[in-house]
Amino acid sequence: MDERRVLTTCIWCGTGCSFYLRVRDGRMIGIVPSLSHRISRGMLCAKGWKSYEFAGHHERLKKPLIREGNDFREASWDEALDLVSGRLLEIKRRYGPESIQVLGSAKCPNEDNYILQRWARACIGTDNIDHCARLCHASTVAGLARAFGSGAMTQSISEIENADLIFITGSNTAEQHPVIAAHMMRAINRGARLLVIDPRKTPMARIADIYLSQRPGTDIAWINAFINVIVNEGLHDKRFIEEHTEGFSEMWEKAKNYTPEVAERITGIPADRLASAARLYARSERPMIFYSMGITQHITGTENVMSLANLVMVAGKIGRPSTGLCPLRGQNNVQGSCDAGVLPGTLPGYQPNSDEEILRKFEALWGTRPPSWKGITSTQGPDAILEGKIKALYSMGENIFSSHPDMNHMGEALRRLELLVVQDIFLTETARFAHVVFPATAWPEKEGTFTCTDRAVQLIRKAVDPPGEAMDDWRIIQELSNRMGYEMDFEGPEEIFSEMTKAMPIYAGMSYERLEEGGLQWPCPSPDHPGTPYLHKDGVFRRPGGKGKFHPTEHVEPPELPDEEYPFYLSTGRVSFHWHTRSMTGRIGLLEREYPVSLVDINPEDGKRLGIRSGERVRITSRRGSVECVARLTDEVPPGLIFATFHYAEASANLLTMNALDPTALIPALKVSAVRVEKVS
Amino acid sequence: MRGAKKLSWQDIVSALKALENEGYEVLSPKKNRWGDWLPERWIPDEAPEGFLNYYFPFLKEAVFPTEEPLFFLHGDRFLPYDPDSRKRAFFCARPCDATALAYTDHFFMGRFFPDSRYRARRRNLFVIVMACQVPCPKSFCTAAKAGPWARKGFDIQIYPCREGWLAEALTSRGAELISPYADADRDDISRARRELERGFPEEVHISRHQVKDAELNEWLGLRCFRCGACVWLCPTCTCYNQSQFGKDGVKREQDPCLFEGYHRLAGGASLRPTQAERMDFRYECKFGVGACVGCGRCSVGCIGYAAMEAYFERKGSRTT
Repeated sequence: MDERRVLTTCIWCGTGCSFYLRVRDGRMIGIVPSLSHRISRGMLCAKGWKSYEFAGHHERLKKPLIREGNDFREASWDEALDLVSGRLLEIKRRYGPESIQVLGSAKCPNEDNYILQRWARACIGTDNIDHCARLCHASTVAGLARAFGSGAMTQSISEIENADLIFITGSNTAEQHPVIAAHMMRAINRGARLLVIDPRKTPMARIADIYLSQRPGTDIAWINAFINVIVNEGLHDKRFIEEHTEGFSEMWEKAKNYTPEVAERITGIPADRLASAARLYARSERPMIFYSMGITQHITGTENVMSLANLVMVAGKIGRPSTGLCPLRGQNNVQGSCDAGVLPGTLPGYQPNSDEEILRKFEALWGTRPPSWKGITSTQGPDAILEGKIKALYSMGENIFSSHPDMNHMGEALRRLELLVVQDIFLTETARFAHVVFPATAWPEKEGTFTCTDRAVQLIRKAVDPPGEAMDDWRIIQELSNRMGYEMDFEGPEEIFSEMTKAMPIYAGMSYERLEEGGLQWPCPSPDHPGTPYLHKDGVFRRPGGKGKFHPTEHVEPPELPDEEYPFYLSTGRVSFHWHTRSMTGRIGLLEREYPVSLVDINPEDGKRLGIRSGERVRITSRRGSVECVARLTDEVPPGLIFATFHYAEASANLLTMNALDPTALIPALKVSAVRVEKVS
Repeated sequence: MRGAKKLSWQDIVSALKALENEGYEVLSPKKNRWGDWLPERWIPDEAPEGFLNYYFPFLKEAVFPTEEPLFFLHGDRFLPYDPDSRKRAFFCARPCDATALAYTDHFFMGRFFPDSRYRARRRNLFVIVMACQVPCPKSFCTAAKAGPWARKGFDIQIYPCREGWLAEALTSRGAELISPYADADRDDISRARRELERGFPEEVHISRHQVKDAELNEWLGLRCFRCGACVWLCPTCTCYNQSQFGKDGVKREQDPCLFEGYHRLAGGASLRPTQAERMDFRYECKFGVGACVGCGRCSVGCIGYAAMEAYFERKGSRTT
């Protein structure tokens, strides 16, 4: 039969679903879910079912573009590559390698990200390398690494159905990780209880056994109150704490002050309900905690994560199947791009560039010593540009203008750059600022690997040819590197992956040949190792000494609170039918039809008070900007809180958000801003 | 029914080769290295046995694809795309899928919505059902009278039996294909059916007179996470929408009725603004019109808990 079906891994969230792309006459015509796959088991979300569509869109970039005045002209690859490599060398010579920033992409495979950071560190000599993990789970990587020694989901997705308590906080799982929600539903159907703590009444909150709505930005208070109840009522796991952890006393010095009554004053959660929820967690045999950006995107993001780690260790709910702490990673390969070292100060495999032995190892592998200084993050980039420290920015597959907080500030910075190069599949909002745009291949046109949220490395397989002259991301980087005098001669992704297994102990036992049979979960240290379904087995943590570390945490008020002028809390996020800045889902007809305009969720009480009805246009204003959206009155948000998305550039919530950063992870506080709402007459 | 035949494996091979000689591309289910069943070009190898299961409804896909380009702009005129109506034969089709085909035939080739593209493909589709020996997970095909053997929608149906295979034809072209082979007693086929049915308990009772149940719809609506799987996996769903294809073409694509946009009118008003109302719409279609064959795919693919399995379990009595 002339229809081919190519097994691959999904491009959207970090769940790691698998399906077959159906290809006929060189064109993708649909999807067949894989019933046998460990994670997706024949299930897909709406985006997954339609994931093939954007790659074939007629607006794909097909030739390199070079800026001429306010417009672009098409150019040959040779001309564009020569121009960029020459300009980068010139900027490096004039201002030093630290004047160049490189951004990777969690949409791209591990191999693309690995070669990008090698190019940045070994060829350019800069550690200013980062990617969108900075906006989602940088605080997870920092917080869990400190507490457990490993900044990743401790469990496997396939363990969820055996849990007896599903505990979700700060995650709209049904809309953002739908297939993980499906595993939760199976657990619930087997009798598991569902506990949700979230300011928004998400779809999972609506069917929860216990739903608690906290005031935004008060997570440390309720988590400490959980610990307070558990310890005061003797429900903590004393043996686990003594044998497998350190720092309990210091942590308790803080947590003992957070009685449920104190927490009620801070969070708004009734003390008795909070205490009941804490008891439910402590008494469950197999409770799994899931969280996402409702926990991480705060100025206390890292401390929020460490507080959850404290809770898990106090109750001894880790190191066994169907327990643990599960950050749900947002992007298909955000875990992998972190693994591959696209983070400042962190070489591939989470090996710090402050360690002399590790620097020597990479020097031997790359023939050049990587920088030992710690670069700046993507969120620090705009200020660094405006201060004149960064002169050139190279972005592989990131749409930072739309995805980062305070778009006006970002736009001002991008205009100031001496060189902006964007490598992408569409002319995104960021690409419109660029001096040179390289057309890259999309995911169905690539070979490589994605690493999903439960640390499983899985193959993606090429199904169709790219349009026009679009080139693989890794090859573009290699071409530039060779022109800049640092030779790389990889033949393809498999060879790059082979080098990754030499550089990264957590991937050491993997190969394409093994992955061909199915995913492998890191750490996988040797070719005969089966991979690691859950971490910290029997309480042996991955920190030096093998003990988990408690960290004392204290509630801190968000940097901006509602006041008379800006009386509403604004929380931002995504909806189920769109992805981030809509550069892909906006080109999928059925998804675009489902969510065709930028909506803002307003509680009906607030709507009534302001004279706003569903479907009417409203203006949202913060201290940084103003947008017009269409109102949707819903009890998904409590009175005093509104929710908006950053999907639509012209009405993006990121025109309103601020670039207040968590001091450790430098993640922006996208979940709390103060705004006012007005009806547009 | 046009007679009963007794076949050996060699007889089946020669019948399939005869189809190939007539220009049919013969497809049969193959389990790949990852454990998924997909249709592949038939190769005369070992006789099929046990569990044969396309999770995806490939038979419907052959006549009513998930999406298909309809027209493209040529100068100032729209020209149609070829409907791809090559001759195809499905060997070992599922009885539920054949039953579903009879339903979609009625829809697309009936008086109200005659569809030339569907008709062209259906005319060139030859269906050989293999009666099921093992029930699919979450299926209730016996109750829907679509399994373990098919009553309609096929050219030939084959039953495994101790001595080999029994076959019956439903169409003249099916009868012609198996005419050279030895006759069997119709009682043999009845016995084979009863034998198969013993492994397929009838767990639910389906009635066309569905009682409106607002509470049930509300409950299901809360657990529907709008993935669309129940539609894309359903062998009987016939709804589609038309949208842009490429720069200046038009395509049609199957359209999930549990999506809000399906029910939206020009100007933004919705015929069914709540998910509960959309659940009611779907189940009214599936049971009221008789468009459910009990294949169970929707329950396997549902990421929430709102498909047929949930519907029956929530009903409590497991009756509708």
